[in-house]
Amino acid sequence: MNLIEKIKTKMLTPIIIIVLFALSFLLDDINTLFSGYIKILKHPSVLISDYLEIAGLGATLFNVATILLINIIILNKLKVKMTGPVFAGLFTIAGFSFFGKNLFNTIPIYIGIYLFSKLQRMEYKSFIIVVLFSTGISPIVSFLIFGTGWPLYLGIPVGIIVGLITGFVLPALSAHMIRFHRGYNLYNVGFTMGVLSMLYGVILRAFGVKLELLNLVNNDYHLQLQILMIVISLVFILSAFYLNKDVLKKYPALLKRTGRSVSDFIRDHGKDTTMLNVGIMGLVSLLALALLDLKINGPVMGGILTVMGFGAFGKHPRNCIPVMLGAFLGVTLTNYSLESTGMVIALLFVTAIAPIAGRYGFIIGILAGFVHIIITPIAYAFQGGFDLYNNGFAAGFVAALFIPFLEAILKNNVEEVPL
Amino acid sequence: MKKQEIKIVSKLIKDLFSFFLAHGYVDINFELKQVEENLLFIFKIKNLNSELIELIKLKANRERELEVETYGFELMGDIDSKSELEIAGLLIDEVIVNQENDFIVLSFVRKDRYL
Repeated sequence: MNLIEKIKTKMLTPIIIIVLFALSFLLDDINTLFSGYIKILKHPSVLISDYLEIAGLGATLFNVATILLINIIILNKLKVKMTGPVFAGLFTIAGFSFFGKNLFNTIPIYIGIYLFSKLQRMEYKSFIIVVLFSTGISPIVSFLIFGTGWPLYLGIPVGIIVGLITGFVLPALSAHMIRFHRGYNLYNVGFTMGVLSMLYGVILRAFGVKLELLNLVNNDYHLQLQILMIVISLVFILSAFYLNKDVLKKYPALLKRTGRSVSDFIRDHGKDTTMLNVGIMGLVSLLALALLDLKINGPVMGGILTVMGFGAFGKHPRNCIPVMLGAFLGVTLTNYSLESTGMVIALLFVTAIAPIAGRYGFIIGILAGFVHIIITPIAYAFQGGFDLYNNGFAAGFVAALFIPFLEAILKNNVEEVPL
Repeated sequence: MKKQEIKIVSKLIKDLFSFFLAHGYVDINFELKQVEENLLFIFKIKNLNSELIELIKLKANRERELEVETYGFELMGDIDSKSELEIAGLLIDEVIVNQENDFIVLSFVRKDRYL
């Protein structure tokens, strides 16, 4: 396979894994790296647990690379091709491996989905979208084992069993929940997991377990992470031009898409155009942070990488900028503040509702972004912190509030441009 | 037929009907047929616009996607613009177009490959 084919087939993901492994070993000596990694594996990991604060940059990058590698191996074994949702899933996993996901807390959930596929007598790979997004609720496993204060002989089996049950119920629940927001919340599995997280929170409180939301963040690696993300974004853009020097001519067609689920940009517009969009979305995120003088930490990395990933599955500048602007107005015109990490990441994760702007335009997009950001902190407290995709939970409510009304009054005035 | 397949087939029927109705076609003859392992959704419509036929071919002849069988199929039938069939196109293997006098006969084929 020549270089062009390799870039096309895997959308640069193997190269990113190699770079992350190399950086992790360059940044930390081996003892620091592995002791940090053990700290990550043993941490309760509920929102917001920035692994940069817990274990440092080297160990965190090692955690990201390890999880990405395992997921790539699973995809290869299952012979799953690189589609838009698969790419978005991988980048979301990478992003949240900076603050909540690790190998230990994700595996039981994967096995739970596998058991469900066996029960349904369906191929595991037919559930691949849910598999890739399922681990947003992985902190429940870590919390039950390491965060409750229970002895390990009790915590380990309970944590693993709850992880298995979570994976087992997620496919059916997420297929159903998508109707609630009619595909206008791109983080549908995040919404589903928010509902589950809420249930877990209630059960644990009923049994007297103390739930504490954390706020561990570390801004010390801002410059290194900023450089890393600028380089990754530019590599995507340059690769797009390397694959097709006329890629810019294809880009306007992608920008006309609403982005509503299930919008697979790789399938519909090709890997060259999608890679251009992914890179541009990375730069848009970085520019927004730079303009507001916001620092990059683990959760913010999660936001940037997720926005880039969904550059293959529904997001582009035309549908994202209005909701981001609305979210910014929501913070500045209310009592909220960008000193809160939750608010900063919401500025990026608000793009979950980008299809609303894609379908109904700039002004409605701003309004939706505004409502999203003021709902987000309430959703956070409501769901208990086990759902890392808290913005997906909030976005589900925003879309469910906006869409029925907008469809009733505006649906005859909108036309989607055919592919 | 398995429960999941029944859900998908009924959603496909709803989606295809919504599509034709949204484009102003009200006189529609419909037949659902099982031919060996294939399920055929046959629509017979008078004077169907040729541009629309091309759009249908574009959407319905795309490769089937296994993931959509478990995720996203629930959105079918919830048509909100005239040119959708986005998801339906990923659950159908191909569309065969024939002409019978003034009528266009569209046979959407769904092969029993996965379920």
